Amino acid sequence: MTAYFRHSWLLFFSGPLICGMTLLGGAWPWIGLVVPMTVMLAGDRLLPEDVRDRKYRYPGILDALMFAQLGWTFIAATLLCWTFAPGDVLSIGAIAEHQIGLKVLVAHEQRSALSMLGVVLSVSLLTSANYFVAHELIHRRSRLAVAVGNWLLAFVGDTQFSIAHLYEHHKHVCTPDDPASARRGESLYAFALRSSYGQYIGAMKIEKARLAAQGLPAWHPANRFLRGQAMTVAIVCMMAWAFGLWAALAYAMSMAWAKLLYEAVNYIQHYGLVRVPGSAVEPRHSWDCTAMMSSAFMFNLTRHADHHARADIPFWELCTEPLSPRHTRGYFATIMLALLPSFWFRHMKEQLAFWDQHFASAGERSLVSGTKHGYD
Amino acid sequence: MIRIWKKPSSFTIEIAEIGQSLESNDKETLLQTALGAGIEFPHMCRVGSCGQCKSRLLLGRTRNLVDLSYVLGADEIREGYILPCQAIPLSDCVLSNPKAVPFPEFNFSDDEGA
Repeated sequence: MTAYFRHSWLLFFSGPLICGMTLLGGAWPWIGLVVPMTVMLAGDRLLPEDVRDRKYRYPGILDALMFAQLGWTFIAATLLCWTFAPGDVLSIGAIAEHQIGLKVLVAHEQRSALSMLGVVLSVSLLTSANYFVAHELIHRRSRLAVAVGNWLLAFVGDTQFSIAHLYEHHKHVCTPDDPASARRGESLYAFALRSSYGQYIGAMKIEKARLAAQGLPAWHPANRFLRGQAMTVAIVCMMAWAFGLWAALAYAMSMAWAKLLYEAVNYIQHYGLVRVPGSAVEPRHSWDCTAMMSSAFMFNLTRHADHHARADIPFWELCTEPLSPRHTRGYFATIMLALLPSFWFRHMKEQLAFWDQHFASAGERSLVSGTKHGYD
Repeated sequence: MIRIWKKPSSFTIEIAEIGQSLESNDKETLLQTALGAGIEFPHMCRVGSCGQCKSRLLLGRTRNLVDLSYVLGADEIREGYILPCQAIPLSDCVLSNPKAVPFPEFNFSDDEGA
């Protein structure tokens, strides 16, 4: 049973905690931000490495854990908008106070800018999880899974991911043709801009080409890129209609922050690794990670080398790759480091030098030898 | 839901160039079947985007898990080309891919250099 519980952090811990703290208001939202982050960082640090392969008799439970994220996303988004709305819209506060007995109305009345910032940051932390849950689901081939994945992405305003990730990232990973592979010497912030822009343009072009192959115009209801944008616009308009413009703006801000957090994940997964275009994708083209908490929380996204080698299997069958480079810290600590570019470059200098020497093929070595390493 | 009690149907998959018959079911893709049988089947991304596994379906029917026009042209689709990494068999199939290589049979006889 614990094998199932290990992937239930979002459903039973982060989701209820962050939504609850958002509802309470005042200083509580900051607890919703700090506690999950501390648990993740400490868990990665203190728990043993996770290299075990597990067998699951009821994988449907694991799917249900992922689908549940859509519920928490909806609740968290609604509560965020409620925080920013003038007055107690939809009587959410009154219901909480009179039906559940939580004293929230006074805090809602007297909310400060700092408290509202805490709400945006903690809700973004929760919704940034949408990316890696959706990532797993859009790789699936069941209509339900893909639809839930797309709605999860629509809530963070990034439905293009389901197109660009499959048809661009997996094909071109670690080559200049993939906007979502971080280059050497590129800071997280520069990468986030280039990657976001590149993925949007890429997804648009891919859909256009697909429709052209079917003899359809780009402006067609079958265009998945446009349909995805419509889903996001619908969500934001609903929020604006129900909670007012400020609420919708705050929600858009939280989307942007969640996007940055996920771009940080993209950033560390392939940072600085290169591949000769057209050659096979090998385990050495991804940074693996064996940190326990990151793996459990992120549905084995950490077993990334195997994911790229066998992208058609569900997350619980992924293994750690002995022949891939590794981030020795957990994902969360690695992301923290990536937020500080000068520390990041210094840390990665050694790692990449090791990769060049021991992992890279002759062709890849010549690709990196000509270029400036960025950390010199 | 009924799926749970339904036994997966079993199909025979043949790769024309190799001639070997493989057992498959309606749960796995043609690529998974071929790789599972030890055949070195050309492939790379396994998400239906790189086109490395592109093969021609000579006989049989498949269910395609992705829209093939992401990778294949209209002519190719008409000629029966599919992406085995995204194809679930619906019947016995014969597949053609000149680049597929059978599982190496180790030959310890003396003509190793040949």
